[in-house]
Amino acid sequence: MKKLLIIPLIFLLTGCWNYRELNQLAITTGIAVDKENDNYKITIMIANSKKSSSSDGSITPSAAVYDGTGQTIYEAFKDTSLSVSKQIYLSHIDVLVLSEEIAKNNLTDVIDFLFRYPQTRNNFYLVLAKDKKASDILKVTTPIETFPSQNLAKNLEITDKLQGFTYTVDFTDFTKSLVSEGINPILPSVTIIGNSEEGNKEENVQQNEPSTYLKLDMLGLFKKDKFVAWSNPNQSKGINIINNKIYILGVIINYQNEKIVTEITEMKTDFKVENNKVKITIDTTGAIQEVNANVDLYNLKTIEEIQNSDVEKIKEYVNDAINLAKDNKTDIFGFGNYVYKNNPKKWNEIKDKWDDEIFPSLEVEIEVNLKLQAKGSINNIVEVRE
Amino acid sequence: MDQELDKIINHIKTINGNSTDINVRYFNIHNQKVAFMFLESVANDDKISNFLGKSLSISVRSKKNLFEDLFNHINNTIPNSKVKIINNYDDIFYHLASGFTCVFIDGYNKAITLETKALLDRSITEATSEPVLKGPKDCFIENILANMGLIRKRIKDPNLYFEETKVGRRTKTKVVIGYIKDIADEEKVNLLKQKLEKINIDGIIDSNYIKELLCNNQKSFLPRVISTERPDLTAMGLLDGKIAIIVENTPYVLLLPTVFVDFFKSPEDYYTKPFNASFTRILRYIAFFIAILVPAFYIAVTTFNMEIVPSSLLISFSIQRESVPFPTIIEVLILVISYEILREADTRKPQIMGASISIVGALILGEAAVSAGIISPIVVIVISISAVSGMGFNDPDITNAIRTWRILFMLAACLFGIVGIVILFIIFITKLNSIEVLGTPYLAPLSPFSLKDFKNSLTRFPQQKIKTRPTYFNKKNINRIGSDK
Repeated sequence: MKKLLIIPLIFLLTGCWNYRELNQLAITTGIAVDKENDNYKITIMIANSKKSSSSDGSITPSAAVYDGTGQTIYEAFKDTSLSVSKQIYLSHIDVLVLSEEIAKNNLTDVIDFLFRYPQTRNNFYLVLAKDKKASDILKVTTPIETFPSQNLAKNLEITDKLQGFTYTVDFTDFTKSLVSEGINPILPSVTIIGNSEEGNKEENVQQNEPSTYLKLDMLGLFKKDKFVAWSNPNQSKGINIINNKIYILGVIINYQNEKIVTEITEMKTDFKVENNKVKITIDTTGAIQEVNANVDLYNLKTIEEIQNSDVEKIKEYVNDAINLAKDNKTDIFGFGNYVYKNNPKKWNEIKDKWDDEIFPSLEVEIEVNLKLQAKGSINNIVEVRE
Repeated sequence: MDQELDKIINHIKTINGNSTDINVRYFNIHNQKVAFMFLESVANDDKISNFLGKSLSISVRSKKNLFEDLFNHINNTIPNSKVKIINNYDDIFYHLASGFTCVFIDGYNKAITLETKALLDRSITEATSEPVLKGPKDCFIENILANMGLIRKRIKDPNLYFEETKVGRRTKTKVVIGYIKDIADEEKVNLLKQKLEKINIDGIIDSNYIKELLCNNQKSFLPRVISTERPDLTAMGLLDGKIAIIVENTPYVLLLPTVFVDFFKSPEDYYTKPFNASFTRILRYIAFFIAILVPAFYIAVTTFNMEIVPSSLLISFSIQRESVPFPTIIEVLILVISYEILREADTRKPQIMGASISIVGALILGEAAVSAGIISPIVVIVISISAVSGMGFNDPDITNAIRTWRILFMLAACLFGIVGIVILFIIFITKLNSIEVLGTPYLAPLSPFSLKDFKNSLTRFPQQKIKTRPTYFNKKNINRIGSDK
């Protein structure tokens, strides 16, 4: 009986630790970081801020964007909360948008804050704002998803699965490649098509053809924590091929002056680094997806020719990517990491000059094993009879 | 007992305060005074007239030499199947109250009693509180003999023992322990008999009195004895080695020892295909845990552990809560308590008022409370899921246990979040584990684990695969399929 008496006493001893009511929280789903006159400007998107009731009485949430400035990230966040009547809650961030300036100079400050802050999880996506202010990116409304941040995160996820030239990086991936030996991070970028001012307005959502929208763009290459260069789409494909990030990739070749598209559906890339030489082996299968030339697909020779052209094209992508990295002296593929894992002693000797000297002088050998497995539902080109 | 007839009659009348239903009729058979006595309220006039009237008038008309020993003569010639000779007043009154008629003969200090019960029982009807779709429909009634008959009808084994004791100083209620001698564990039977003997109470009105007196230590809130109105379930229990307690005037038979998994079994399980039965059984376990955990889980994730909810769901929770003025726990409690009141009202009110309750319940609790901004819609959904899951059990004991644990879990969740739920869950399991019913661990066969019994606990294997009786009830005669009986 005495033991039982202790139980209510336990309840008296505690406050309600970490107790928060849901409607006292400002659930933040997106953060954008800009630099403004040597100050950080934080823009947060609060998802549960207002509700618009539709005619049937159901409530749909919509987002509101607030910003604040400060000399440190912390101050900027506190400044933001001055204008928000609820407690800012960062566990549900979908996306973190970084401006190019931040990426060039102060990336570690942002990363440190978010890493240190206990509330944040590390499964949100990082994205660069190309040519635009990061805060503008967060403000662009979209008719497809409820929140701009959700729109951006979903777009990154889906495009990564369906296209070969974007690259989805979440906080874990990014920090991992930032702190690992012999590998440098990459970030995808997004830009605004149309007028950024217009994108903020409610009318943008109501139009059938939104005047302003977001579009995923090139990849941003980093050297250590500093942004150095953008890739073009072909180089992006190459980066994805080497990093084993291809789910689907369209390879477009010229065949008899017409275009033939092959869709790569499975791709596995291995590389070995030995004595200043990288050997990249790519095993892949694909299917012909679009034929604009009048070719005879019954003919095995034709298939073989297409296959060879595809292989050349893939090699071209990979070479483009490697050359871009070499030009910028940043090892984004993790070749150095391979050396570090397989030969740590050697890595210790060469690690200081890896990015600047050894990596740009690596010899590259590429081997592509492509199997064309299918030609789609029809065999030859659609014949139009007179 | 006295010898003189008048004294006997007077004595009985006095101890009963001359109650109006006492009826005495005097005869004179060859100058010997004879009287018979019965209680009108419990005896059947027709039977008395038929059997007693006939018998005594035949005796009157018979030749004199036959009744040199009138007592034996009457005793031998009464056309009744239940004739007893009694020689003390206590027994006489017990028999009178049970609907027997007593025949007194002047000069004898004993009486002949014969059964002339009035039919005060309803007939055997369909089971109402434990219905099954396909299966026997009969159910126990208030008549203890009929109840024993319904069991005996199903098990014609001579080893099926019925042992009677009387419990209750005033009610003198018949309590019958039924078990199959060579299956049931003798220790358990003896233990139970001892426990029954120790009961000292003025009256037993219902089998639930016995149930409560047998296991008065109810710290876990969970029932430890099954009480069923189904003879088929009782027969299954007896074949498993359980002991049945049949109480006079109660249409519910107690079955013990009972283990936790028994509450998730239904006789229906054995009347459908094994796969389907297993599926519904697993569903019942899921429903049990949904019923006790879901409101608590909702409180925990909306006040402490928001991280584990997907973003879009959390945002929708948050928007719905926007206009609600109360803390989540109050909001949930309002709805839980309203639901319990509604359920209680539904049980107690006469059926003719049925519609009004459901209209008030559905409209006020569901629609109006939400649109008035008192409760958020998601809470209505959460409580409804929990309530519906709790309805899958027909034993009110387990429904009430679910209610208690549901509220306890809610309190734990509102104090400590998920951590609180986990801690209380550990306490819950520990509590269950510490219970023993007549020496059988309550969580058997899950803990201590037994693979053989597992086949017929969480799932229901085909009959030919369940080779043994539950090993946690008994150790002898374990095979139900094969060489043994």
